[in-house]
Amino acid sequence: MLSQGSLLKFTLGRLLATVALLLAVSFIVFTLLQLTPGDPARNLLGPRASSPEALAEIRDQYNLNEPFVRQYLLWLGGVVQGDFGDSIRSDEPVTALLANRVLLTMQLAALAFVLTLLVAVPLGIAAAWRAGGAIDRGVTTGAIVGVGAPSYAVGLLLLYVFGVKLDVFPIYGSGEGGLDRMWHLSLPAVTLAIGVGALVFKLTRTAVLAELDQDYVAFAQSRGLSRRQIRSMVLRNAMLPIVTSLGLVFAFLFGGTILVEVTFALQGIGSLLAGSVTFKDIPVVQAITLLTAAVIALTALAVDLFSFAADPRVRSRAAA
Amino acid sequence: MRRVPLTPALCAIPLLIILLFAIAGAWIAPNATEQNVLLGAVPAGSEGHLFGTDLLGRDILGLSIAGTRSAVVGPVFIALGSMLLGMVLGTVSGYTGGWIDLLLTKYADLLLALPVTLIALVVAGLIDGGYWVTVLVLVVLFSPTDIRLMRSAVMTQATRPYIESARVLGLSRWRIMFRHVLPNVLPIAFATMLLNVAFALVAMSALSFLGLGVGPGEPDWGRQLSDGRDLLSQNAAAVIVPGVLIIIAAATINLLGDWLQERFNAEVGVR
Amino acid sequence: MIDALQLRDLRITGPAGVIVAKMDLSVRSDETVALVGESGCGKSMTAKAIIGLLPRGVAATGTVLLGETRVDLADGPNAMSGLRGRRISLLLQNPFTSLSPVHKCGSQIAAALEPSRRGREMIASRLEEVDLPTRVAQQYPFELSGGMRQRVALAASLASDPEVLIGDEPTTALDVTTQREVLDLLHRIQSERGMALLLITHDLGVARERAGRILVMYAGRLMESGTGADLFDAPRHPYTAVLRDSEPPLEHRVEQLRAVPGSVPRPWEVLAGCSFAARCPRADDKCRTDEPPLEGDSAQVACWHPLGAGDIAPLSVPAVRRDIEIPEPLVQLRNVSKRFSESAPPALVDVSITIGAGEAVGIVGESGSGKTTLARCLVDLEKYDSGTIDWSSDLPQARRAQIVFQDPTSALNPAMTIGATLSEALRAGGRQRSDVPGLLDMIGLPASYARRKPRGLSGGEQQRVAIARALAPAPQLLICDEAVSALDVSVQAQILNLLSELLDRLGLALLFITHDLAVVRQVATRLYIMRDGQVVDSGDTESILANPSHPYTQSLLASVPGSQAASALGQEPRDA
Repeated sequence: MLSQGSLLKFTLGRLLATVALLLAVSFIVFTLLQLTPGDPARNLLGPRASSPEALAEIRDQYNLNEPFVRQYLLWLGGVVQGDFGDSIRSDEPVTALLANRVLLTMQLAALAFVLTLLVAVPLGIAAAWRAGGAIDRGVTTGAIVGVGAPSYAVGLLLLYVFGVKLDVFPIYGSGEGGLDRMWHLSLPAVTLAIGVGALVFKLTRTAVLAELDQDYVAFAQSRGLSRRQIRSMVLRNAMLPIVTSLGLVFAFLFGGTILVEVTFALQGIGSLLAGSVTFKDIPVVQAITLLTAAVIALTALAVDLFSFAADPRVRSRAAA
Repeated sequence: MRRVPLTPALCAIPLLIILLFAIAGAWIAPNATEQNVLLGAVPAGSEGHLFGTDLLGRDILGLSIAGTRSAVVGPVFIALGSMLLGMVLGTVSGYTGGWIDLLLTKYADLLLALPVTLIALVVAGLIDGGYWVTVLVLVVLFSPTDIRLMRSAVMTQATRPYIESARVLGLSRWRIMFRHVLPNVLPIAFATMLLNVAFALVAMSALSFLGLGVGPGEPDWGRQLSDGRDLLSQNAAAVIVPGVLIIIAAATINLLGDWLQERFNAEVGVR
Repeated sequence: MIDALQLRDLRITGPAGVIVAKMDLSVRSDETVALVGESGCGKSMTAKAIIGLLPRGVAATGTVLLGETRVDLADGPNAMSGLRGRRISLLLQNPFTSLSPVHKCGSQIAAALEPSRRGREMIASRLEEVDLPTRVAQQYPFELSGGMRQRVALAASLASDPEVLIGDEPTTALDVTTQREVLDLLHRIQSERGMALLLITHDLGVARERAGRILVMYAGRLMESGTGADLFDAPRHPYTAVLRDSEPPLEHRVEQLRAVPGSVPRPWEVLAGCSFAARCPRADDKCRTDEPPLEGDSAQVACWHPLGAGDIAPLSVPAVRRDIEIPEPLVQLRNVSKRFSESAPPALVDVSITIGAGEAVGIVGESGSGKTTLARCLVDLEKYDSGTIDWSSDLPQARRAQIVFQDPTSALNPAMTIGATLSEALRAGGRQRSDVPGLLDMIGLPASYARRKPRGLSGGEQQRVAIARALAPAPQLLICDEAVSALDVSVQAQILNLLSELLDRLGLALLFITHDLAVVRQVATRLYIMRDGQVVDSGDTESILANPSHPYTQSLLASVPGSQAASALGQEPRDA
C-alpha cells in the first residue's frame, strides 16, 4: 500500500536529480563564454569601443579576473537571483529582454501543443484501433514524412499557399490582443505542430498497439466486456507511455520554436536566440539555453511524478 | 501476404536522383553560382530559367541541384560518425558494464536533456567554424541516441543463450563482441543510421537556414530558403524548389529507414 | 443430457493456408473434455475460433451450438459477441499477462458483472469461490504469485456465469505443485457449477487425469477421440500411440523411449492424405494420397490402418536396474552460496553436490529453486559468494563443462551457419574444424546442414546442433538446463534418446537440470532435489522416486499429472 512517505521520498529523489542535472547544464552553459573564440572580455564588449577602461569595467562586471571556479559560482549566484548580465546587443538587462519575449514563445508552444494533443493523440489511438487498414497506413506514412519534414521548409510553403496565394493568413507580425494574436500565431503553430504531432502520433499509435497486443485484451474480450470497457482499460494502460512521450515532445517543441519564429519573423525567444548567436550576444544565449533546459527538466520531473501517481508498479518499486 | 515491398520501390527513385545530384551536381549545373544582379529575381517560367532566379539573378534550378551536395554529404558523415561512436562506445558500455557504462550513460543523459537543434545552433554558432566543424558538433550531438540504442541492443544480445554458450566455450571478449554480438545488431544500426541521415539533413539545413555552417554564396538548400523568404511574392519557386527537395529527401530516407527498422526489429527482437 | 457446446465442421484458414479442417467436438454440461496436441496442431486456434476471437487475417467457417443457440462462424467475430462471457468464456495460459497491470483485481473481476451486481460482497464471494482471501480485491496483479493470478483470472472469466469454459493451457505456465492446485480448483468448480469444461493441453498426463474424454489433434486434424482409458490402454491411431510412448513414464525407467523421426508439420504443408503419414511406421501409398475419415461412435479414429489389439506394444518395458557405484568425483561443490541482491532471497544456500566422472546426475526443482544458478556457477557464467567448486582436472573451463539451454530458438547465433558455429566450438576445444561432419553425424543430422542457417531448422534440430556445439570441445561434463522442456513431446523423446546414446558412447558425465521428475528418471542415476536455493533431498534415482521420504519430494511426485503416486499418497481425491 502506498504511504505518504514513499511519495515524499520519490519526489525528493527526483527533485535532487533534476537540480543536479540543471547544475551540470549550467556549468556547460557557463563555459560557452570560454568556448567562444577570442578574449571573453572583448567578446562581452561586443562592437563597443574597446578602450582599456571599458575592458577593465567589463572584466570587473563579469568577474573575469577571478579564478575560473569562482567566476562560475559568482555567475551562478547571479543566475539564481535572475541576473544573467546585460545583453551585448541592446545593453538591456537580459532578464528584461527575455520578459518581453517569453510570452509569445509560450503562446506559440502552447498553441502547438494543444493542436498536437487534440489531433495527434486521438488520431494515434484511432489508427492503432484499425491497424493495418487503409486509413492507418495512410496516416502512418504521412506521419513518417511529417516527423522528418523540416519546419522551416513546411512553414515557408504554408506561408506561400495560405499567406501569398490564398491570402487568408497574415504573413508578418504577431498581432495584438488575444484573438488577433491567435490569428497571427495559427500558421506558425500549425507548422510547429506538424513535426511534433507526427511524432506524438507515432508514439501514441505504437503505445496503443502494444497494449492491444496484450493478452489482457483478448481475455477481456473473451469475458464479454463491452467495447467501451475494453477501450478504457487499454487507454488507461497506454496513457503511461503516451504521457511520457508528450513530455519528451516538449524538448522538441522548444528546439522547434527557434526555426518557426525565424521563419515567420516572430519576436519570441527562439528568434532572439538565433539573432544572439549570430551576434555572439553570450549572456542572452546563456540565459535562453539555461531557461530551456529548466523547462525541459521540470517537464521530465512532472512526467515522473505523473507515472508515480498513475502506475502502481512504479509506486511499489519506489517503495522497495 | 506476399506484397511487393512498395515502400523501398517508391523511395528508390527520388533517392537515386538526389544521390545523382549530390555526386554530379557540379557537372549537371556548372554555372549554378553565376550571378546576374542586373536580371534580379525573375518569376518561374522566364526564358532560360525554368524556376526563375533569385535576387542575385542565380538560376533556382541550377542552384538547387548544386546545393544537393552540401545538403547530403555532411549528414551522411554525421550519421556514419555518430553510429561509429555509438557502436564502439555502446558495445563497450553494454558489454562491459561498470563505471565505463555509468559514465557513458550519464554523458548521454546530459546531452539528451536539451534539444539537438538548440545545442547545435549555440555551439556551432559560437565557435563559428564553418561546415565541417558543424558536422563534427552534430556527430557529438547525435551520438548519445546511438550509444543508447547500441547499448540496449548489445545488452539484449548479451543474455541470449548463444552469447552465453560462446562465453562457456571460452571465446575471447573481443571475438564475442565482434563475431557474435555485432553482426546481429548491424541491421538495426544500419536502419538507425539511415534515419539519422534524414534527421541530420534537416538539422544541417536548419543551421544554414539560420545562417550557420555554409559560407555565404555557397549553394545550399537551407540558405536558399532563408534568402527566398523575402521573394515569396516575386518568385515563390525560390522557396518551393529547395523546400520540396528537402522535404522529399528527408521523407524518402525516413520512409526507407522506418521500413527497414520495422523489418529488422521483428527479426532481432530488440526492444 | 444435451451438449452445452457443440462444434460442427470447423475449418480455419490463415494467410498461409488451412490451419484446422473438419473439426467436430462436443462437451456436455457435466464433463471435462480435453483437446490434446503438440504445438502448432491448431488446438489454440480452435479455442479462439469457438469464442470468435481469431487473429487478424484468420477466418473460420462452421457452426457453434451453445445449448439451443446456433452461431454460424462464417458470420465473423460479431456473431459471438453477445455470448462471450455470459454463455462461454476462455481462460488463457499466461496469468502474468492476462490481467491488466494497472487495475486492481477486484475491479477486473467486477468488470464482467452487471453494474448493479458489482458490490463488495459479490466480489468477495467470487474470490472465495477460487479460494482467495477478500484482500486480493484491493491488490494489483503484480503483487500476487502466478497461481493466485490464475485464480483471479478464473474468477474473472466466471463472473457472468458461463455454461462453458475453455481453458487454453491454463496451468502450463505454473510450477507443478501450483499446477495441481489450479487443476483441482478447476475440477471442483466445473462439477459444482455443472459447467462444461474444454481443457486444451499439450500434456497427455493432464488430459488423462482431468478429462472424461480426450480428443487428439495433429497438424490441424482430429486423429482420435475416446476416454482416457481407451486412448492409453488401446490407442488405435498410430500417432496416439506415439504420443503415449514418447511421454516418459514416471513409474520406471525405460531402455529407450519409442520416438518417431521428424517433427510436426504445419497444417498447410500437408497437401494430401493423412497428415501423420510422413512419420507413421504403418503408412502406405493410400495413406499418402487419401485423407482418412473420422469414424466410430463413442471412440473415433481417423486412420486407414488403425492399430488392433495385437499391434499394440506393451506400454513400455522397464529397463534393467542400473548398478549404482559412485565413481571418482569429477567435480565437487562444497557449501556454495550465492545471493544476487540484499533484498532478494538467496539463490544458493550451502549447496554441496558431487558429480562423478561419467555419471549422470539430475537436479530437480521448481522455479526459484536455484537449480539454474547452480549450473551457471559451474560454467563460470555466474560468480558465487562463498564455498568451493573443485574440479579433479586442471583442464581449461571449456574442456571441463559445456551447457545446453532451454530455448532452442535462441540457442544458435542467427547470423552464423551451423558449420561456422560448430567449427568455432571445435577450435575452442583445440580440435580440427574438419570434424564438423562427424559432429553432425553424431547428432543425427546430414552433413549438408553445415551450410544452413539456424532459421531454417526445426526446434528439435536446433537443439541437436546446440548439443553438438556443447560436445565439440570434448568436455568432461555436459550440463542440460531444462534442455528438453521447450520441445514437443515427440521431439523430446528423440532428444532424450540421443542424450542417453551419447552418454554411453562418449563416457562423459551429465548434469541434467529439470522440473520434470518423469524425464529425469529416464536420464539420471542420482538425484538432488532443490528448493529455495537448498538441496533438500538426494540419493539414487530409483530409491528416491520409489520410496520418497522427504515431504517435498513426496509433494513433487504427487503433483505430476497422471501419476499413480497422486492417489497413493492420499492427495485430494479426483471426484467429489
